[in-house]
Amino acid sequence: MKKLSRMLWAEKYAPRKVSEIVENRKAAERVAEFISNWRPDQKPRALLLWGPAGVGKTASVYAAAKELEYDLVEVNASDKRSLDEIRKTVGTASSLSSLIMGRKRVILVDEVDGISGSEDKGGISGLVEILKNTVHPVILVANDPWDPKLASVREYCELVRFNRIRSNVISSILARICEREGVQADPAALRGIAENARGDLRAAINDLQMVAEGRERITMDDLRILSLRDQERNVFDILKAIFYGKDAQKIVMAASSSDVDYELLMQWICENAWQHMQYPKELADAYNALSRADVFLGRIRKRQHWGLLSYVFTLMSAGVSLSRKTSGGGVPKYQFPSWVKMMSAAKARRNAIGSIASKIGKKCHVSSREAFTSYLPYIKFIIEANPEAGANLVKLFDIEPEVVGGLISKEVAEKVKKILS
Amino acid sequence: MASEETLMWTEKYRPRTLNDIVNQAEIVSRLRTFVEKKDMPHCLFSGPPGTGKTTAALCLAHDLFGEYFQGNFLELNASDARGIDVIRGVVKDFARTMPLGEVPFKILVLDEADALTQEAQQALRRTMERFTRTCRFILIVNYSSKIIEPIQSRCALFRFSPLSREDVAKRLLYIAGRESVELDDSGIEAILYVSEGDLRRAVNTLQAAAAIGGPITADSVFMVTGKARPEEVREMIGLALKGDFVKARKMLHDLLVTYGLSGIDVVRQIHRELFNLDIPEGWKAQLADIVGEIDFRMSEGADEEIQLSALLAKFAYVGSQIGG
Repeated sequence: MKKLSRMLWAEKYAPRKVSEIVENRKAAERVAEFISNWRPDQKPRALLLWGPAGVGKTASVYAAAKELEYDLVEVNASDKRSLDEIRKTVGTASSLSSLIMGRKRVILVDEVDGISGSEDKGGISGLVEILKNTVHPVILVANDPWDPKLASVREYCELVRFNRIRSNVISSILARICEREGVQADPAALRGIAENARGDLRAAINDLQMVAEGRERITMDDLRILSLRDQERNVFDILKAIFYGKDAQKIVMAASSSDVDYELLMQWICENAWQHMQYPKELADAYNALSRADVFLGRIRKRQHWGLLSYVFTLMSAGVSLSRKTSGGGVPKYQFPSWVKMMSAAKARRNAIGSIASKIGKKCHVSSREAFTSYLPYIKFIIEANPEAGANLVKLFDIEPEVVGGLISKEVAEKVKKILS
Repeated sequence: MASEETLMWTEKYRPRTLNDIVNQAEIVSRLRTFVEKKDMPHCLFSGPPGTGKTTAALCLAHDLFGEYFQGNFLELNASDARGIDVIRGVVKDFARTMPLGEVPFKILVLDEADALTQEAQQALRRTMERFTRTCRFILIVNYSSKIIEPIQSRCALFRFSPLSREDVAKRLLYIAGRESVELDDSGIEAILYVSEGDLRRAVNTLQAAAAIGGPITADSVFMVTGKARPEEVREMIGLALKGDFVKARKMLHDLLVTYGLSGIDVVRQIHRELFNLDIPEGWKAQLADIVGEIDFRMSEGADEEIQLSALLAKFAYVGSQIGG
């Protein structure tokens, strides 16, 4: 099992039969039908499968070929050499020999819209030649079949449309994979992954595998990496625009027009601003500007006064960046906000401790926040200094054994458990 | 069960009736007249933490309701259950039903009411008006200024003064006596120092120090508070002043996450440590100004991590000025 898990799940769980294809079933059945009914003199000469990425275009060709016991010859259309190769072998003479000699073949030409029209004029005409002369069924795949350069190709093809996969279908497929992989998954988390993929099943499965890596359980919290990963490239560009800009207005634009959540962007700036500041004065000014932005954000939260948001953007971007009076050196290596990372890692523990604090609060007539500062440290101390007395407190506040471990040292936690059992 | 409730000394030695409250004499005598007349206005209790506000409210209710305490008394903590929903829901449900017994109203205590949003306070004000006949409110806050004017004007205001050192010491000695714990003068001094007039913290410190066993001395008290307030704070300031912003910030994250200190805890501790720093005395007040500003911002709801990062950056700048 361990070895297999290295494999891409998107491949491991690819459909093996046409009947395994859930969505776009009609289209997949058409592919199988086309292959099995193929005659060398038929028209249309080929199928052109089209639709967004990751919805099963290629997978249905694979599944059909496997089920009908055809050999699949796959060509990437944007790779001119392989196309030439096929053109040579697909022509009448050699193709006849292959008909006689071996198993039947189906030719899959992927990424047809990737053929470069101008640089590679031979590409399209080579493809047309294949379509004219082939004695094997040919199936073309493209995201956008209406690309003008494909006009001549389209003439030979029947277009088969593949649609985006509905997210409830995706999440049920993800659930099945989780079951097979022995991963416990929160249904909400799976829905989250599915929705995030926007109809792209392959992307969803890849995301699932990434999230599940090294985990036995997937929850909503674990998805944080997902959306962040998508945004990360974007964030780097924004940070560069902020820190290398000279024009205040442009800097502010870079920050405010990004689709990165501004609170997260603030964290990115907080994590990385120091790398751009050379002198202590610059450092102090930069972080002061950032902290002022945060003050405005606090006012917004308190009074729902969203008009103040523009000051937040100005201070957090231009305010920080233009604190540097000297010209900065090279592009630093931007780090993911360590605070965000720590907070999400510590979240479970903080939740547990928060629930203890609220139990303490109820019994001692204080808020959980007050319990956290004016009771918890002392209770912790009592448990460590005197496990016998501490055990009673653990019982009183109904602190679960796992949480005790997080609160105090392991040995003491063991002692307490022993006393209580 | 009764013994369980008394495991925490703050609960065990919390006065049960107004007669047991030894300080805040003025306030207590007025509250007693409420009990005698079986009538009271809405009240606003304000004052520093650990000065007996919640206790006074509990005692008042116990004295008023006696055996009917259970059904007639509700304690809500606003900082746990803030927002309009709670005010509209729980508070209304409690406030609109008739009281039991001979007192014609119920009491609803809203502790840490300064945590209520403005909107929630507006909603609260209407609820207070609507249900005055059946329910009296006691709002408890640290600062009465955080409560909107219209509510303040509907309440009798009680200001709880900070407990005197003598009062706290007396209480500590009383508890130590009852618990047969030896508490020497240095121990009392140390507890007074670390608890800053907050009786709750003082009693908790006493109980934690007693858990070690043996007599309570300054040493045992500082063992307790050493746990509650890690050395790392001092180290973090040192790093910042030396200009090592990155390391100092890493340490800050440790304090907030691993040690679980709140941002407010951290600034308060920084403020104390200022006086132990080996820098020219004149700079200490300047640093205090920075610390105070950040403290203020955080208590107004600013982000701990960003504000404290800014504090460290400022310290780095001050450090460079001192050095150069």
